[in-house]
Amino acid sequence: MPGESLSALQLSRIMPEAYDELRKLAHFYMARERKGAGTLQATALVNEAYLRLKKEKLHRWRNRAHFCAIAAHAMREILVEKARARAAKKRGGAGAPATFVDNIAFGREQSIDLLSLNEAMERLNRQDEKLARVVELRFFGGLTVEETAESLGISPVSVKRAWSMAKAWLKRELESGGGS
Amino acid sequence: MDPERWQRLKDLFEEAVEMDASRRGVFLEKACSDDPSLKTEVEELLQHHDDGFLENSASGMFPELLESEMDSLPPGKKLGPYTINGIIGRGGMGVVYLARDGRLDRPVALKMLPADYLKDNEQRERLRREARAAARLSHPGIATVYSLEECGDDIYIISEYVSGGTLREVMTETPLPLETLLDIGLQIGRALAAAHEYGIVHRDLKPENIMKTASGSIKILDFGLARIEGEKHGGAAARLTRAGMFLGTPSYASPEQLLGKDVDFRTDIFSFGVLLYEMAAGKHPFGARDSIAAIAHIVEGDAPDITAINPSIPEDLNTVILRCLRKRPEDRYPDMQALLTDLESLSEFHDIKEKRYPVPTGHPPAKHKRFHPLWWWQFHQAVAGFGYYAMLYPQWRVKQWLGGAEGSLLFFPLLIGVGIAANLRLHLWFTSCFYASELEAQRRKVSRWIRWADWLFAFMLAVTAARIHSEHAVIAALLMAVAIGSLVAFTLIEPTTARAALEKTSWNSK
Repeated sequence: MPGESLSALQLSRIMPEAYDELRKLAHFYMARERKGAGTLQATALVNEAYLRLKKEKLHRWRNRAHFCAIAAHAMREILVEKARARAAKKRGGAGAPATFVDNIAFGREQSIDLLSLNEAMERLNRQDEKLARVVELRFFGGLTVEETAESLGISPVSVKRAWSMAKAWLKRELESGGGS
Repeated sequence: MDPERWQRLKDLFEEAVEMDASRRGVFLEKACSDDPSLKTEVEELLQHHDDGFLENSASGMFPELLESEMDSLPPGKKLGPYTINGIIGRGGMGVVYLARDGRLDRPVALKMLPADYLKDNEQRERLRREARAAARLSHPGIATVYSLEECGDDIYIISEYVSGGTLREVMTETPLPLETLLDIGLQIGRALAAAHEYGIVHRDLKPENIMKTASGSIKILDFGLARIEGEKHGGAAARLTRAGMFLGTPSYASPEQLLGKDVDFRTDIFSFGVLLYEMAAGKHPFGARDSIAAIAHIVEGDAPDITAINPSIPEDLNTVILRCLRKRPEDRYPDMQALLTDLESLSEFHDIKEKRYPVPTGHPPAKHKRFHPLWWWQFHQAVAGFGYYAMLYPQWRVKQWLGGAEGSLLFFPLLIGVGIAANLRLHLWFTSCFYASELEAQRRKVSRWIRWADWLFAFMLAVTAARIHSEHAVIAALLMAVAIGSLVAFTLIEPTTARAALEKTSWNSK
């Protein structure tokens, strides 16, 4: 129908292969973005984390793995602090919530609230510390599977498994509204 | 959930996720025969299994949290003899503007340091000292510092404006051919050697700080100013990040810098090595640039041989670069001159002729009579705004001709479109005239509304034209012409004028 855009659902019904291809492509680009040269924001976040560590802890350098762990944690803290500040400002009447709408994945719109995600991660941490650390390194620290494996001293396969499980768990938490 | 059950849940999930979806049911039925609620749990998790979820990293997902809140000066603003023309970039210590020095009529780069950045006198004094030292440097490969101005609490540094692209832009097509690499490398090396001879260390050498001019000559920016940025353990720099996004990068820092130890000229040798490596191999020596893993590798980790990544790089160049990248400063080249000698003989050995660059003769004088793109954009907004209102008249007449519901149906949507598009445009026009600093934020807020209203406007005119073309051919043609004209204006012309006027000012640098 001219003038009317197909919804992702319709698209997936009509052309399952094409839809799959598009999704794969989208993920390919996202993955490339992740691996490739840092975006402005990634640079800013890494730099801010670095400055924070430099101020407090970096002169007590232990090893690479430890550095990655505390840097990823610092990156999470920074983002959460900024999201909180923004949420507080919003309650005051201005600003937008820190949610992300995943339009790139073609229609599978998912809106993630950083603060809810953070809370879900704390719950995950209570259940299984290792999974929470994998999420912290991969998602907040921006490390690849291999780098995460190196940092945690486990195999890449274990990281992949933990990552997949943690994501499914977190996604369920976020969709159920948390609190379980 | 107790640990035992959790472990079981994990194992089942991991196994089930690997297998074909059709086999999962039977598998779980069997595996959870003793515990149906566990089966439900696994099934729920499987439903939420999604490879795309969280696949982008956090900084990419929430970019707006990291956006700069640093205020910027609007174009046209005067600071003493300097008139701001536009933003060149947001650098290590604040916003850098392209400005014009009215007394000498030449373009300058004006680096504004945030007011809360240099509160105490000691820091101010150190900045003055550094600026004085940097101003002594006179070398074709170094952007000259002209002056340091203080205006109340604000401090700004005026330096030579270098047009061209940063080395980062040159490096998008890495690995670079050996000839280009050595040409750029030698030029940077000479400039660094000259500065070191004066006892000035750059401390923040990175591709964003190095310009390549149209003639191919290289100029290093921000010499010696990096020191002010960091007291040993963060201090001022950390304070700055609270004010806004700080576009530094630790990816080119030396191990001793990262660890907060004292640094000397050998830190520049390390950063220079990272640069050379990136040009030769096409990638950062310690992993993905700007990742925490790469930073960790700088302190602890070896750069792989470049020859393994790019076989066209000669072994001797590989050796030179890796020597720059040694962890301990004393294992690197003893000074820039020694490194330069190696690079020169290497260049000679590989029979690469050195390029000679003409000594730049300066910038052409500004053409005052030329249209300012901002003016043109404002003109566009105002004309479009009033033009939209004008179209209400013919449409009102059409409503009277047709009468009844049909007339209203054609008139009122247009009225809404005009109400939104014209009002918001006039609002932007007004903002750009009187509150230029607010313009960017306002534009972000309303541009989507304008776009929709524009489409509505053009659409309604076209529909009306189609409806009345048999009775009022001339009016229909007029409406159609305006519909097409506005369509062209807002899809083709406006984005261009907006870009020229409001984004990175390029009209004076070209």
